[in-house]
Amino acid sequence: MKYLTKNTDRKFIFGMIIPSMAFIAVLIFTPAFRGVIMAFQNYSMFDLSDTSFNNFQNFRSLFEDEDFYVALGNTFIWVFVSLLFQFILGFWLALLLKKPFRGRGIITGLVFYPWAVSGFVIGLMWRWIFNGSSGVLNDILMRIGLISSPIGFLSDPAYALPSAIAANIWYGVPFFAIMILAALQSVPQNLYEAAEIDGATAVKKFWNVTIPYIKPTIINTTLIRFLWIMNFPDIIYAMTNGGPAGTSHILSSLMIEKIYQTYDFGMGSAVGVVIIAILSVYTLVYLKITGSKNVGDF
Amino acid sequence: MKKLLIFVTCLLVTGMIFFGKTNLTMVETITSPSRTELLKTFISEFEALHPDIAVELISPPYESADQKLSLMLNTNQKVDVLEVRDHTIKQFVNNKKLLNLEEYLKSWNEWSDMVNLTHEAASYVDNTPYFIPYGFFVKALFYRKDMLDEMGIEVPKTMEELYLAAKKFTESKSNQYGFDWRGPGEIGFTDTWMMSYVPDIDPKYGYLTTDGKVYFESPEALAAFKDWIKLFKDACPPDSISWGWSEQVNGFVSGLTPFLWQDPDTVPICVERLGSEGKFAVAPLPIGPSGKTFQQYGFAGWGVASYSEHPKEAWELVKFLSTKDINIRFSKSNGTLPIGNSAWEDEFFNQGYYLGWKAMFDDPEHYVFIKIPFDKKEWGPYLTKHRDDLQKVILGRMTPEEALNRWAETWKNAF
Repeated sequence: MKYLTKNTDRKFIFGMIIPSMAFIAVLIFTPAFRGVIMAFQNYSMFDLSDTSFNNFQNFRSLFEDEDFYVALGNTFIWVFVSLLFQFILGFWLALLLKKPFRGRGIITGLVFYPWAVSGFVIGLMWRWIFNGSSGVLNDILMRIGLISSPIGFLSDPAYALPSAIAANIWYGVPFFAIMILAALQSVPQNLYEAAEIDGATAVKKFWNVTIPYIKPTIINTTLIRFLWIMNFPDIIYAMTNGGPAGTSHILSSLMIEKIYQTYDFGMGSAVGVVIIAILSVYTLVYLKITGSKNVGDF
Repeated sequence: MKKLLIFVTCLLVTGMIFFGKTNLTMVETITSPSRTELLKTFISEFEALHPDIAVELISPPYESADQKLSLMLNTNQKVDVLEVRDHTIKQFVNNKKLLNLEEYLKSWNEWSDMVNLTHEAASYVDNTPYFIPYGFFVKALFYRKDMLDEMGIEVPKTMEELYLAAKKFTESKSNQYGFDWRGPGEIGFTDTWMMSYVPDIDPKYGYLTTDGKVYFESPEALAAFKDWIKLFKDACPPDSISWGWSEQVNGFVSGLTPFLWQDPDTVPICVERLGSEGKFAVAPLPIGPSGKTFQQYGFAGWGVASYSEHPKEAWELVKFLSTKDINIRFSKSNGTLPIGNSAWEDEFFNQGYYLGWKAMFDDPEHYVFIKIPFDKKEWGPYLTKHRDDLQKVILGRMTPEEALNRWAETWKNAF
């Protein structure tokens, strides 16, 4: 740490950081800050002649809107259920792909395919799979005799959000599989050998060697995915557009609707501010609980 | 050497200023690969006629194109000619981004050849011609001729006949239904059905009756709304509450439902999927109990940006795109209804599928085109409110009366 105290080094480091900081400030913080300001303005693209501050009107309208609370509740279901299953299935997949077998390269490539497709396209694809009249899923279920009449997966409020979550899980599993597989492959073999000499069972090796070693990856990936899933309206937008009757909206799809359908950037930004607040609180709490400072220590 | 270089540079710059081409930027928003290709063909024909003008066409992806254009205009980026749509025109005018074309129209002979709807649409906002429409979207009744013939059912001429015919087809056990419902984006369907029950709709204001009341408050509107829900429950696929355009088309071409209300741009896909051997046909919309059918019409066209540095050249391009020949070619490929009287004389629009629309245009006594309040600030929020409320009524989470009250409240204060 000694060299950092040198004045010239500090200047050098500072000088090196400035360009990227300036880049981030201009391209990320300025629009984000502008968005937060907009949340307090009467900012409708329909008429920009009066964009004055409107005394929290956007937030008041939002908090009076029952659809907002539906979307808020849905957001938590959407994020936690998607994340949980994406993580478990991704982990399982990574464990399966870790051991060498014939054709592993091709299978790995195929498994990662969903991650390479745009969320919107995936939404459109699943929208047809879940179609309540001519969808392939209904067809399969009817052929094997599980149901006698088609289920309105996207038209029945009881199924709409779960259907979108199912598509989202399918989409997100490869991400965890890729990241965890990479982490698993980095666990030194000698740790396992040492554990074996100590008489550890496979389960013990998993919990006491594998998990602690890949803990930083688990924390980082779940944290990042939480943020991404919450800010990922593509699938819902394409599959249900928040319907029927607003029952499958999450906050980010509600935000898109406010902007795309009603051109109300003020209201859209207000939803955005709520999302930022939730994510900030979540990140702080998550890092505190997981003790991220000590991750990777043995 | 240095002096020579400066001299040559100055000469080049001066030359470019005096002899350079005028560069126009044109932005389309209802983007599709085939349409973009067609527009590029028109542009090269225009450039051949005007060697001093070069046009750059910007084609943002359809889903975000309106947003992109709004942002370009509101930040005064270079735009000369732009696509103007029914639901974007008012915001462009509010934000003072569209040039008033009145002066230019005075010296354009073809303007007097346009159908009434073209004049009306051009001056939709503030009674001022802010753009030239290139076509219209008007709904008509698509029906599966083969299925109707097989069942011995006549093409319905009234809304009641449509309900009865659709119900006759419906047999949910065998996944067979009568009418192709629309979920999101349904407002034109619901309004057309409901308004056609109300005898005194004011065509000028659409949502008002002639005595100045919001039409949702009339007893006929409530009866109409209940019938509309009944049509859904008795004769539409339950899943269609969430159907968009592609599911509707799929339902129609697969034979799931024999009746569909749609715009003319749906014809090409139906021909592609069903072939043109008379499996389907297009008839005028059925008449409502009021003896009339109040038709909304969607439109889009080309306008000039108010801050364009080359308004004259931009107008030349708009004018070129609106000429009879170009408009006919555009309409045939794009599926919109043409804007000029003489275009309607073209053989193409006087046969086959277009007869359904022609019959409505030729019968103003029964088919009244109304103005709906695209230009009010309530319109955007109302679209989502209307969709959600209608779905809530279908799901039994709201009564029809409550929904109509909520819609009436929105519009009472707006006019």
